[in-house]
Formats: sequence, structure tokens, C-alpha cells
Amino acid sequence: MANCHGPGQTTTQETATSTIVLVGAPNVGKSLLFHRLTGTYVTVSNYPGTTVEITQGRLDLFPGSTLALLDTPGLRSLLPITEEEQITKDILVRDNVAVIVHVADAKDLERSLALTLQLMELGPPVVLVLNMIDEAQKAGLEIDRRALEEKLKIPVVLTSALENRGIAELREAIAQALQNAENPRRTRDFSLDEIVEAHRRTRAIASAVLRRTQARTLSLSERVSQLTVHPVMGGLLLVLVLWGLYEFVGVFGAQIAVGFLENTLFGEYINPWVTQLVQRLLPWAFLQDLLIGEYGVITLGLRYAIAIILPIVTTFFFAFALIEDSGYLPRLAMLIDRLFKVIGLSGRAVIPIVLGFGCDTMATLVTRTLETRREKLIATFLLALAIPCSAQLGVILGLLAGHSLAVGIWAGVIALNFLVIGYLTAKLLPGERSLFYIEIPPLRWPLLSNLLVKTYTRVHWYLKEILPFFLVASVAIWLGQITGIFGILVNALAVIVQTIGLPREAAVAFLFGFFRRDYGAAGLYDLHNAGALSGVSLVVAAVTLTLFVPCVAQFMITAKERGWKAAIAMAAFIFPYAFFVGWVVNLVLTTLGVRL
Amino acid sequence: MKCALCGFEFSESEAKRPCASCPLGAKCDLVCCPNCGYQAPREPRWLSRWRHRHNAYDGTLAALRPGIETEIIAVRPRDKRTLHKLTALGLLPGVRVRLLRRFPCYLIELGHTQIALDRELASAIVVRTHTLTPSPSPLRGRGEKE
Repeated sequence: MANCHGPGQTTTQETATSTIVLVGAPNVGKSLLFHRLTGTYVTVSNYPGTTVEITQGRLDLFPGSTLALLDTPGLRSLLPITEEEQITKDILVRDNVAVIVHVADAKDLERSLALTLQLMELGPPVVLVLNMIDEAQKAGLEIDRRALEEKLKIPVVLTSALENRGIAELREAIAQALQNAENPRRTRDFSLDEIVEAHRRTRAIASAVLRRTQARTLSLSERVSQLTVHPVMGGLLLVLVLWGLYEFVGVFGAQIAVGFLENTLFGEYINPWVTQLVQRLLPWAFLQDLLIGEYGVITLGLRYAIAIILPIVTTFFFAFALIEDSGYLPRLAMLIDRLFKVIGLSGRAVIPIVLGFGCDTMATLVTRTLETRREKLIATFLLALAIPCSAQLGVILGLLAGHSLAVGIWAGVIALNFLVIGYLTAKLLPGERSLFYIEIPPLRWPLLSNLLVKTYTRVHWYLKEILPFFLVASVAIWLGQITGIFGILVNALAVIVQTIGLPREAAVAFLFGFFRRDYGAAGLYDLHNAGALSGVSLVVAAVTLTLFVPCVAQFMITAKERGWKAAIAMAAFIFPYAFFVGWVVNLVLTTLGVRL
Repeated sequence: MKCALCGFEFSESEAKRPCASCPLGAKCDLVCCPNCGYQAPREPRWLSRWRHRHNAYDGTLAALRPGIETEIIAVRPRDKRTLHKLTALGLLPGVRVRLLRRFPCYLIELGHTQIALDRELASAIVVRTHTLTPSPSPLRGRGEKE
């Protein structure tokens, strides 16, 4: 495949787009180093496999140089296992690769050098970067850089991307390596024996250049780390983390911030002002409706996006970045692996699932990091069915706020659905069980600047993706109302909605749910404010809407990632199933005479 | 299973043999200890599985006690993909590892890194222990001496 690129391809193109490739195992600080070298920000994180997409930046080594710097997904050996590793390998054997920069964890020299040895056989000059040298020194490790250079016969640079150390030396080393002659390109794939041999040589080299200056002691972070993976203490800590997440996103984001933006900013300033302006400028009623009507582009679309969705999503992404950068996610994966095995997933799947609580669409993309097709399918399906996204979650929690029993019933029903449907899907779907392995990185203090930039990048991406959608949805609803299609659909849905014990008006919220999940939930919010929903029907509506079909964006991504057949099959199951569960919940609650 | 009276361990097929002459035959739910003749109900499936998991030492990482540092002497994964995985993680013959915990996941430490593995992967790694002499057939070539 990638090996068929002969060395004799056009040289003009080669020199024009000479690339420098950053490779290395997951979680060695490649992305941060990339950021230090180019100044362009990419996602930096502790979780192996988050850098799904290849990031490209410009590297200005000397005036007039046009070099591209590529950041690649984590790679452990040139015998790729996952799709991402295959991608990285394909990039490495491209013709325009000028220099390969191998970024390795200085603490982990024994294992990392094996990849260096493999990379050296590819052809292009290799520069070895031992990153996180600060952590290695703290751990009492001393690396003899010169001895290592002599043994490997390639430049070795010690850096700490976090502390911005050694970056200038690295630039110089890359510039030097560019002058070096290239070895002949290797076209043969690596065999397992060669990899094992590389590991054997690595141990010999590492023992020659490594010196331990002090006995291994348990640092504070290591002690805390032990706690996080303890079955009991870890569980308690998880509850604490979830509680913190709820307080920050559910209470601060979804209630205080939303309340301020919606009631004060929009309610008192923007909406009255825009309404006045539009009424003065546009005398036509139907155009007025488009902009400021009940479902107007500004009064509904913009208000939902800015006042309800933005604060919730921002707080969630900030909290997620914090969890991600501290290195907690792999520990969570480890704690939950046994439970997830029951529903056919491995611990690795906590990442997309937790991310799903932020945005299911994004999470569906991230299911790519899972290993087997079976696992990907189950995770995608559960995301579509039972994981409410932060916007929806925030609105639903706001809706049920004050009724702790209602929140309990809602959460219980959703969790039960997640487990039961997951278990059944795992039973039904053929394919082998996936194996679980994950590296547990040291716990680190996240850098505030990193968290902010990361949150900003994600929120920016999110808004760019959804804002047009909200506006389009508003226009679509307006068109639907004018032409009467909307009325017909609402009437059809109303029949179903009434059978599960909800008022007719809730049908509108469900119709919105097609456009965006949270859009529907937000519609429910308005309905609740009008006092149209009793306690029980509120829970029923919340449960049904949570399970209800994914938003259009998630549906499109599901189709793209898993194929149309799978996406349609999922939607076809979820649509009646959500109403069925709503019906059952309504039946049980009314029969038992529960008052909420 | 294990005889409750004399502690003799035997398999069910062994226990069924003396029953051949008994008129109850296959319909009888009791098993007979081949050592002392004591009759006892059949061991439930979960108990024998638990016993297997906790008693039968098979020389793999999965059966090791936490806190023990040892050396990997062989890797015997269920398929090639698993072998690639273990290789990529650096879990190869000759590498020294320390088992930190078994529950909720196997957590091992090699050098300065910690890796979590599930039971299936852990039981694919054969390790040296002081009570056992190293197996003569490691996966590749030599079991290195220190």
C-alpha cells in the first residue's frame, strides 16, 4: 500500500512540501512540543489516542524555509495495531518526509528506544527527543546524552515542553539533520522478530546510558495515584469527581450562568431591543415572525445557542479538559473496565462515553479510538440511545431541579437502559471480546493556560458547528409553520405523545428534538415554565427525550463512521423504543400513585 | 473438585466410575470420592471456577500476588494481534515487571510506567517466580540471565 511509493517520484514536489514528522508513543507530550515549535495550538492531553486527526503547522527554522511540521497519533512500534497507528505509519513512509523527530518520555527510555531503532531503518534522518526531562530528573534518573548519541549515531535532545526547555536546541538539531544525507528508503514491512530484537538491543543501550542517582521513593502524586486506582477509594473519588462535575456544569453552568444570560441578558436587554428594532424596520408580519416570533431566528435560535447551550458546553469542556490533563481518564478506564466488559465494551470506551456527556456528536467521532468494530458499534449505539449531551443534560437537570426524587427516577431509568440494552446488544452482536490495556500516566497538575486554550478550541469548534444549525433549524421551523407541514407533523406526533401521558403541546418539543436533542429539551423547558407539565409527565418527558433519536448532526456522523445501514437501524430501533420506555415509566408511576 | 472429608482433589469423571454398578447410575446427583468413598453433592460450577482461578498456579502474571517483582520469561497470547499489542507495550521476555494490583484491573509497573491490563492479557504473560524454575520454552530465543 504505502510501500509502493518508489524513491523515484517527482523531486520538485518533494522539496516544495518537505515535512518534518513528530512521532512517539501516546502521552509523551508530542502535541505540546508541536505547539512550542510552531506556535499553533493543538489538543494536548494525557489520554492515549486523543490526537485522532493529524495536525499540521509551519516550522520556520531559518528565513525562507517552507517546512511543514506534522503531529501524528501515538505510535508504539512500526507494526501497527490500530487504525491510527496505521495512519502514522503511512505518513512516515511518504516521500516528502525530510526529518523524523522521535519524541520519547525520558523516564521511559528502556521502552522508547525500540521505536527509535525502528525509525532509523526507514531512511530519513532521525532526531531523538527525550521529553519530560524535568520529570525524569525528579525521579532521580540521569541520562548520559553524549553516550546515547554515540551509541545511536543520531542527535539526541533533552527537552521539557512543559517548562519550555531545550526547544532552541531541538530547532538546531532539526536544521542540522536537514543537511544530513538520507539513507536508502526501506520498503519492506517490519517483522515481529525484528521488533523483538529492537527491544532486546534497547535494553542493552539503556542500561549503558542510564544512571539512577537516588533510590525510588514514592512521591505525593504517586501516593494519590495509588488511591485513584484503589477499588474502594477510587470509587469514592469517582463519586467526588462526578459530584464536582455536576456542581460545576449542572449548577454553575446550567443554572446560574444560563439564568443570567437568558433572563437578564436576553430577557431584559437583547430581546426587547431587537423586537422594537424589527417592528420598526419591518412592517411585514411574516418576516417579523421569522426574526422575532415564537420560533424566530433571534428570539429562539440565537437565544438557545448563546444563552442555554454556550454556558453549559463551555463549563463542560473546561471540566473535561481538567480531567483529561490531570491524567484521570485512564484511571477511570481501569476502574470501570470490568463493568464495561458486561456490556461488550472495554474500559477504553469510557472516554467516548464520558465525552458523550459533553457532545454526543464529538464522542461518536472519538469511538474511532476503540479497537474492534463490535466495540465501536456498541459504543456508537449507546451514545445515540442513552447518553444525554451536556446541553440536553443541563436543560433536563434544570427542568427537574428541586425534585430530587424525579432526578433519581430519571437517572435510574436511563442508567438501567444503558446497562440492559448494552448487555443485550453485546449478546446479539457477533465478534470477539476486546482486550483492555492502557497506560496509566503520572498524575499531573494541569496548566491553566492549556485548559483555557483547549476549552476555547473546543467551544469554538462546537459553536462553528452548531450555530448555523440553530439558525437553519429556526428557519426550517418557520417555513414549516407557514406551509402547514409543521402542523401536520405535530398532530401526528401528538397522538403518540398523548398515549404516553404527555400534553399535546409536548409534541412540539419532540419535533424540535429531531433537529437537536437539546433543542427539544429546551422546548420542554418553555413548556414547564408555562406550567403545562405535572411532576410525573415531566419525568416521562425527560426520559423519553433523553432516549429519543440523536440530533441530526450526530446521526450524520454515525452514518459517516458506521455506515448508513447501521445508522438507520439504530434510529429505527430508538424511535419506538424511546416512546415505549416513556409509556412504561408513565404506566408504572401512575399505577404506583407516585406524586412528584 | 475437592473431597470434603479427606481433601483429595479429583475430577468428576473419576468420581463417576465407582457408581457404574449402582442402580441409581447417572440419575444420582452425588459424586463419590475415589480416595475415601465419601459421597457428596456435586460442586457448583462457580465454586470450581473460583477454585481454579485462585488455586491453580499457572505461572502467569494473572496468578501472581501483588507486590512481587519478577521477570517475564515468555508471552503466549491467544492470537497475533494480542502478540503485537504486548510487543508494542514492551511486555517481552527478559523485561522486569512488578504487579501492583489485581483488582479491579491488573496494574503492573515496568521502569517508570504503569500499565493496566485485563485478566486475559495478564494471563498471556508467563513470569519467573522464585519457587518455579523458568520454563525452557520462552517465546523467542533466550530467557536472559541477569
